[in-house]
Order: sequence, then C-alpha cells, then structure tokens
Amino acid sequence: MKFSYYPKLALDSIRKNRQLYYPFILTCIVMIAVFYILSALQQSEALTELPGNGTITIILSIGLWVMLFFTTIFLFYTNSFLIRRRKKEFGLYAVLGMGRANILAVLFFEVLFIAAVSLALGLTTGILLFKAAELGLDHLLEIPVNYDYGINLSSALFTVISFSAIFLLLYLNVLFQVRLSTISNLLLSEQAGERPPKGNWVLGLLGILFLGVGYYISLTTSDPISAIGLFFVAVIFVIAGTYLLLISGSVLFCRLLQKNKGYYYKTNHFISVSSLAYRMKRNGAGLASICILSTMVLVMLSTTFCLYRGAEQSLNQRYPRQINLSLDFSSTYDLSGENTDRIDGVVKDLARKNGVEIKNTMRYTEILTTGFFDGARIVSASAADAPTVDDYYDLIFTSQSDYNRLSGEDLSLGPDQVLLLTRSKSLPESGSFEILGKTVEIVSKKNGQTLFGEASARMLTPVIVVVDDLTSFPYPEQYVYYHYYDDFDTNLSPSDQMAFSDTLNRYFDETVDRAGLGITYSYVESREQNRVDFYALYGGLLYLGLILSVVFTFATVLIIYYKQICEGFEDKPRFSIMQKVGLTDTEIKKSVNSQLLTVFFVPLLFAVINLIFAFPIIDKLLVLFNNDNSVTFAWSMVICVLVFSLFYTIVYKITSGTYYKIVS
Amino acid sequence: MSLLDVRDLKKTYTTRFGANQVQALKEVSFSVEPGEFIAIMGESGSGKTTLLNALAALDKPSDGKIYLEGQDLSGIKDKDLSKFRRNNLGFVFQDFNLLDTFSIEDNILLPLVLSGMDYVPMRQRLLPVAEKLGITDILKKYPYEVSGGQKQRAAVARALITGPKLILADEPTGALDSKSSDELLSLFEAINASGQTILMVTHSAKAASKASRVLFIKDGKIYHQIYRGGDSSAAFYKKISDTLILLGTQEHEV
Repeated sequence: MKFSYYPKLALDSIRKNRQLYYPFILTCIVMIAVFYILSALQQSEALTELPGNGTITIILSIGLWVMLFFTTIFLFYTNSFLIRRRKKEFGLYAVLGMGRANILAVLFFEVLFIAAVSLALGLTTGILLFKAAELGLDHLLEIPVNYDYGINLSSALFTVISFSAIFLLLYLNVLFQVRLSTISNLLLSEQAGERPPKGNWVLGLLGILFLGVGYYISLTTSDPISAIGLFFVAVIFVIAGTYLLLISGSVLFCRLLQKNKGYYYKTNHFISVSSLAYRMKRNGAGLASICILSTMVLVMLSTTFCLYRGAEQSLNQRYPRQINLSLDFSSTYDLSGENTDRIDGVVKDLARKNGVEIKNTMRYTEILTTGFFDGARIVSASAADAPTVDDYYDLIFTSQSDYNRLSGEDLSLGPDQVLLLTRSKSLPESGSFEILGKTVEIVSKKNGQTLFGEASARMLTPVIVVVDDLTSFPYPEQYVYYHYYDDFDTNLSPSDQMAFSDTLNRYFDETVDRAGLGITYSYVESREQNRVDFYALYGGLLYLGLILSVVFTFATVLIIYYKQICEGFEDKPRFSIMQKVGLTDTEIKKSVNSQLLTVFFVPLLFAVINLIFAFPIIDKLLVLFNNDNSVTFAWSMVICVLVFSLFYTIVYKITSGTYYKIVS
Repeated sequence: MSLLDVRDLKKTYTTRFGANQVQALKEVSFSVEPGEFIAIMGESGSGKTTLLNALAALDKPSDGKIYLEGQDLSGIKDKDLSKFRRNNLGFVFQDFNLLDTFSIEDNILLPLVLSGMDYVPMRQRLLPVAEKLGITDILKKYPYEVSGGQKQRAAVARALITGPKLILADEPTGALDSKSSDELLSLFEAINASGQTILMVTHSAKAASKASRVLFIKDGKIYHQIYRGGDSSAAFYKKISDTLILLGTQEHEV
C-alpha cells in the first residue's frame, strides 16, 4: 500500500464517523483549553503578587492534577467505545485485503490527526480564554485586575506534553484491542448474541448495602475532625454502591416487575419494562458514571458556592471586630479586672495619640485547656488519654460577667453552677456533671460558641463553660492557657485599620511593660488583612469548583450523547418490527419517551439522593472552614440542583433529538 | 362474498429526483375465498413485496381498491390502521422479526397485550397455539437461544394468536434450512386445513406447491394462475415448475 494513502484513509474515516468523532474532538479541545488555563493561572502575575497566593496556587495545582487524572480515564473510556463501534469496519478492511499492520497504520494517522487538531484548537481556545478566566478569578478573589495579554509558553508546553502522552496511551489501547481480535471476531462483534439480562441478587444487595453504609456514615458523623477521613470512606462506598445498584439492582427491579403478571402484561408497561431491563443491563455502568459525575458537580458547586457566600460571615465570626488584640498570661491572677482594665487603658492611650476613635469594644477573658468526655464526665487531657481524637474538647472557661456583657443576657449562676455553650451533642443538657474533678450543676446547654471569635478557630470541638468566678475552678497543672481579648472597631478606612493594627502590634512587642502586666505573648490582627486570605481560599475553591464542574459536566454530556447514538442504532430494527406487528407510531413514541425519560432521569434522581445524604457530613466539614451556616448550605444545594437539573434537561432534549433522528 | 378482493391495484414509485416513474404494480386484480391457501410467485422485482405491503396496509396504492370482507382498506383512518392490522391480519416474515428483548412467550403475546387483553385469557389462548406449533417447551427462552425454525414457528404463533381473518406470509421459508422449511410448510398446510386463510409470497416452487392456488406475478401484473385441485403436492410442484420455465423465470429454487 502506498504510504500517502494512509493519511488520506485516516482523514476519510474520521469524516465518515463524524457523528462519533466530532464530539470526541470537541471534548478534547475543551479539556486541553481548560488544562492550559488552569496551568497558566498558577503562574499568573495577579496571583503571584497576592499575599495569600500560597493557598490559591495549591488549590489550582490540586485541581490540575485531578483534571489530568480524570481526563486520562475519561478519554480512554470514550475512545474504547469509539473503537468498539468501529470493529466491523476494521473487519471489512481486513476482508478486503488490508493486513493488521495496515489497519494499525491508518489508526495511527487517525489518532495523530485528532491529537493535532485538538491540541491546536484547544491551545488556541485556552490562550484566548485565559484572560477571561483570569479576570473571573481576580473578581472572585477581590483583587485588582491587570490587562496584560500573553502566552504562557511553559504552560503550553506542559499541556502539549501531557496530552500527547494521553493520545499515545489511547493509540496503545487501540493497538491492543485490534491485535486481540480475529477478523471474523471483528466482523461479528456488533451482532454477538444477546443474552437476556439476569439480575444478580448478590451484587444488587451489595449495592444497597454499600449505599447504606455510605449514607449511614454521613448521617452519624457528629464531629468535624473525624468527618475529614470518613468523608472519603463514605464517598468510596457511595460510588461503589451506585455502580452496583444501577448495574444489577435496576435489572432486578425490572425482573420483579415482569414477575408481576398483572402489571407487566399491560400495553403501557409491556414494552417499556422489557426494553428497560435490556437498556439497564448495557447502560448501568454508563448511568452510574453519569450519576457519580453529576453528584460530584453538585457537591463541588454547592459546597464552594456556600463557602464563598459564607466567606464574609466566616470572616466576621473569626474576627468579630476590625482590630483584634489577643494576649496570653501566665496565671489566673493576671486575668483580674484590674489588670485587664490597665491593658485596655494602654490601648486607648495609643488610639488617642494616633487620633483613632475606638468603638464597640468587646473584651473578655478565658482559660483554655484540653479535656475529653469519657462517657460520664470531662477529664483533663493531662490526666489521661482519650480513646480517639474525636473525643477531645477545647474547654474554654469564661466568667458570667463576660458572658452577660457579650450576649446581653442577665445570667446569674451560683458557685457550683455552669452554663455550657457547645455544638457537641454527647454532653448532657442539664443536671449534675463532673468537669475536671469538680462536680457542678449544668444550668443549661446552648449552641452559642459563635459569641467568641477565637472559639470558631478551634480545630477541636469547643465547649465554653460559663462559671460565676473564673479564678475558683480547679484547673489542671498542665495545658492551661490564660487568654485575654480586646477587640474593637474604629473610624478608620480599611488600609488605615491594617496600619493601626501593625502599630498596635509593634507597640505591645516593643514599648509596653510586658512583665508588669504579666503578658507572655501578644498578637494583634486586623480583619482587613485576613480578608485577602479568606477570599483567596474561598474564591479559589469556588473558582476551582466551577472549572472542574465545567469539565465534569462536559464529560457527562458526552457520555449522554454517546449513549443516545448507541441506543438509537440498536433500537432502529426493533422499531420497524414493532410497527409491523401492529404498534402505532404514537404508541412507539410514547413508549420510547417513557424509557428515555427513565433512563435519563434515574442518574439525576440518584445524584440528588446522594447529595441529600451527603449534606450532614459536608455540613460538618464546612465547620472546619468557619462556616457554621447550615441554612446557607442547604440553600446553595437547592440552587445548584435546580440550575443543574435545568441544564441536564436541556442536554436531554438536544441529545434525544439525535436519537429520534437515527430511529426514524 | 370473497374474503379479500383486490381490484385494479396500481402502484407507481417516483425515483428520488422525480425523473423516472417506476410502475411496480399495473392493474392487479384477484380475490381470495375464505379457507384458501394462496401462493404468489414471481422473481425479484416483479412486484410481490409491493403487493404484500399494499395488502398489509403498510403502503398506500396509487390506484385501485382492496376490500377485506367488504371493507375498503383505503377508507381506514391512519390512526386506526395499526389496530386494524392487529385485529384482522397476521404476519409472518422472512427474517422472523422477533424482538430480542422478549421471551418467546412474550413475543407471541405481544399483539394481545397491545389489544389490552388480560393475562389469564391471554394464557388460555397461548397454550393451544403453542401446542399446535410444538413450541410449548421453549416459551420461556429468548430468541437468541432457539433455532431459526423455532423462531419462525414462534412468529407463526404470534400471527395466529389474534385469530386473524388472513395470514400474510412474506417468504416465510427464506431464512430456513430445507428441513425446517418442510416442517413449517406442513404446519401451514395443517393450519390451512383447520380453516385459516393464508396468503404467502414466495419464490420457492416447493413452498408454493403446498398451496391450493398459485398466482404468478411478472412485471407488475398477474400473469397466470393455477389450481392444485386434487393434485398431490409432488404433481403440483411439477406443474408449478413447468409454469415457471414457461414464464422464463430462472430464479426459482427448489
């Protein structure tokens, strides 16, 4: 065969199979463009000059690797599908006298052309869209934008290398598949006898069990720290369960319906149920993939959207005032009102000297130690070890006078009475209780730790113990910290707030009589300087969530599209038979519609169910991000589900059009 | 009254660009009495399939009328056609046309389910039909698990189960080996003997020799017809072969 013939034949067969190949190439282009943008953003000047750039760069680089991993698997999967559909064509080539080597040569050129076109168009798109992506990120992170245009050569190179490797892998897979099959195999591959689907009870039940375990973990995890690890365990269980259930359980379900003669032998159900059993058998895996991808998109979007929406709230919770001074002392004595008043005086003096007006002052003292709940009482961490890290609490003791001032309540505790502020559910609501060896009476238990800005930054579950006299409690010898907070607002502009915060910090480090006031450590933070960090984190996460959602959504759409094409070709002969046997066009349309609807909305339904069950555990995880607002999270989930469902429906409408075109 | 009456049937196809008109059927007229077993023979392109499609109301004739028990097919509304076919006609095709998503039983029951019948009476109808066709023990199997002959018998069962006025068979032995063909044709004879009217299109002289009357169609016209009368199948086969030779048909097969 003349060499120049290979490229020609390759181009020809891509063109002839355009219904299969153009969407594949389009997907490659999108993946490459997104990959380039993600890679170039990491080195974007706007980001490298950002104070919080560490966070966002790490987030973007994680996203890049996740995407590379996903893209490889996904393109591999779709390419295998394309080759499978074309095996008959290869068989025909072989019968017409082309050796296997010739076929592989043609296929090589096909992959080469696809790679060249996708890389060229993908990179161009990426470079063109990069600026838009950068502006979007700048906007989310609330940083000033620059308008330099340019191409990031190293990112472009990285993209070309990564995707060339993927394409090479795709070709190797083709090589493997064609090499394995004999000519007659190739010719017959499409019409191999079709076994009637038999549901596998074991796999179906296992699927339900796995889903149950995943959901159970999510529902019962009560503590943010353990939620981190358990979340991924739950995710794996849910993924495995979804696959098993959709592959096997759905067929079982159809079989059960068929056993019910009264239901099955009805005009409306007869054809739908039996075809559905077949469809599910072949498409279970595809449906499960769609379901998992949809779930991921929904989880990512709603979580990052909620975090971003809650960024301001988290910031205000963590830094209740514009300027936040925190001091450490060495003993209970230094926490006395006398001493803290003196310190407040120092702050006010400095403010007056700088012409700063102080308002909304919020002062409180606390004694911090670590303890754990052993089932009956709270024991000091210095006395024994808790069985697991989940059982530890940050115990924050504070006086009722501070509490009354901050909350505006009028609490009056007796000497042995306490009020507990915590979200922990295991501690008792009231009654006699032992804390650090002292028996006290719990007056009540509330979920109010947000009153204390510092408490929201704790990793361990904080338990705020309000007592009548802070000095009287028998604190342990070790692991005890004495804190004083002096937080206040000013009349300054944001940049002046940061400047005054620095001045105050230096003043406490250098000028103040630390020994005289009993200060062992001092730190002043302004809310403004932390705002940049907060937005770098939450804006970055939202951005990544959006980009990965685009990628996953694209993958979902492509799987849906291929499924429609596939089923269209398979159903075509079935339809003409039904027509001949006496089914009217409208009856056929009705039956097809109901099947398509079921097949398409089952994954979405499962995705939403998964999402609902994921809510409790993600809600716990969000606490680690200072986001304690379940209502915001619930709303952002609802909004994401609505938007995604709308989009999904549109995709369904468009792709089912392709299906009808093939069938009729 | 004749069961089926075909009068001056014409069908003209226009080629895609409208340049040529092809006359597939030119003034075909014949009638079928109740209980007849008629074979229509002709070579490829003679208009057999066009005729069958017109009889099945799958295709509209350009001119002429078809009456089934006096009812004019062209007078039936499009939306009622499927129901009409389901209730009055039974089909047997060359390539069986069984649905691979159904078991043999469900394939046979399909027309009844479409007519909205309940399961118990359906079952009562199924058993004798399956018994007659010798497929009782494969009812639970799927099409891919059974032989071609069994598939075709299932298809015949599907055609019979509605108790149609007329069975239309399109090359029913075309995809079968000779043993299965013989079995199927004997079945047709038996069914016909029990009073079922059958109209079969074929180009196998052997298949046609089981019929009670053979119509020869050539270039879109009924060219000739012969009756079996009291002939044995072998003698009738000889007559058919002679006629085919006379017609200059080379394509007939044994």
